[in-house]
Amino acid sequence: MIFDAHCHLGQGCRYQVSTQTLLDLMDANGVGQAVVVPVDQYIAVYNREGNDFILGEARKHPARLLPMVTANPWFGEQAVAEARRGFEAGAVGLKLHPGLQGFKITDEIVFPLVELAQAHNRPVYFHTGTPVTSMPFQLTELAQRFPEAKLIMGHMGFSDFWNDVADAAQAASNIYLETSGHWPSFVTDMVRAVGSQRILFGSDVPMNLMDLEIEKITRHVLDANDRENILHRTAEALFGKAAHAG
Amino acid sequence: MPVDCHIHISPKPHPSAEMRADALVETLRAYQLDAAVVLPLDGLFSNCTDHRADNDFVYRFCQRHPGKLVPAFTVNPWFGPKALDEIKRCRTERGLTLLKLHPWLQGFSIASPQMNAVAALCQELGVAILLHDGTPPYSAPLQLARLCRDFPALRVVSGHSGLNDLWQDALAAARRHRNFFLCLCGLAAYPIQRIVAEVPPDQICVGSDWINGTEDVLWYRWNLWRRIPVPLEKRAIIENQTPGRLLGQRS
Repeated sequence: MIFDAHCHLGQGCRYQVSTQTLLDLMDANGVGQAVVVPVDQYIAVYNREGNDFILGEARKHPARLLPMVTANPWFGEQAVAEARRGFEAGAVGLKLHPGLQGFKITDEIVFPLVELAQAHNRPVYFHTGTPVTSMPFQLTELAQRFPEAKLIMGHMGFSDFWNDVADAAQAASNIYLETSGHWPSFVTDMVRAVGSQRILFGSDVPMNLMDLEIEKITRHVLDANDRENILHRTAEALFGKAAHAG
Repeated sequence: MPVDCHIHISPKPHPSAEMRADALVETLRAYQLDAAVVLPLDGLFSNCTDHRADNDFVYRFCQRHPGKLVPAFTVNPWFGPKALDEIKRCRTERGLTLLKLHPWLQGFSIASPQMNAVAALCQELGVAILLHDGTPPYSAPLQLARLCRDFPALRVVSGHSGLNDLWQDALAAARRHRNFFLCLCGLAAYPIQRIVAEVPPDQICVGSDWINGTEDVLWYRWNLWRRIPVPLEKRAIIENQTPGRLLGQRS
């Protein structure tokens, strides 16, 4: 079964995804498990409310939905406490969005959250691709500072930072690449650059179409082992232990 | 029939331009596309010093399949009078109606006297300008839209509708300026849905950013577009009519 490493869930200002809608999409596309993160304003500021929602939905569907909480680093100790609360409630990782939360990946306000995630053996997912705040080499810098942390490069720097992704990921073996939004041959380029064991499929629903995001892997990644890694094994290795450690 | 409004070609010795043009038309046919607007590639880099040669290559490439492959051309505004002369040549001698510019690769600001001169001439000659956008600091949609304000008869095409970080700006600009066109190229599904819902369809077109044979990109972008629910009438305008309007073929 396919493991989708990045889906949004909730009623946002801009976009809405109900649990049933997501489950129906997963069923229609052969997705067994999905990591769910909150939506827009709940990522930006209302972290506790957004986290409570996805934690609650995941408890209702424990075999299908794995919650990934968020915490705006600008809230300092409160953010760390919120992430810790999420991990203790079963969250499999931490999502950070420099653009929505208003910080740079290299900003020191991020460090306590990364340290916490590292201590709990949870990966940290970063939106990347937006200039100034969320560029691949900024993630490399963070990854080199915290070599034991597992950091996911969301969207692989799409769009204008695609040139940097291979170099950035090769410089830090604790960086993993998430595929949503990128064109198909770029995924295969990254398989050659860093290996499929460091690449995980994500749809980023509802920003992208789940069926097309899956088909771009099944149609264009020709090696069966690479496909299996991307579509579930890498994510299972990253999230599996955390998912059952709750 | 649908038109892909954003593909690139560059000169290469092998295979021949004729073979590559034939292959492109076959690819278009395979994806139920009737035609493509062919943009230069090599001339979009700041180290290009012979835009005439690159433009002539694109023109000859497209002449292999007139009507199916529609050539555009490029200049670098930094070249001043030389750039203006090339615009005049492409318009008067070749009949071309679309200028492609790439501000960050070509290293110029849209808010420059050189760009103003290019825009003024294009407005006078009825040449539309398609610009790369979505990339700060030189290629933000509202920087493009400033041209619509100062040159109200100029057709300005946002080559990527602001991409995923600046699509709201592109959407706002399209609602403000009827001469601002959005090419759906490189956007995620959600911004496409928003743009289609909020912008008149005769200001929207679709492009793949196919470059020298990257069929996977064409597959991905056109499948994305076709899997998004859009009313048939609106889809027909976007795919079939807007390309002609932005090329100046229809009013």
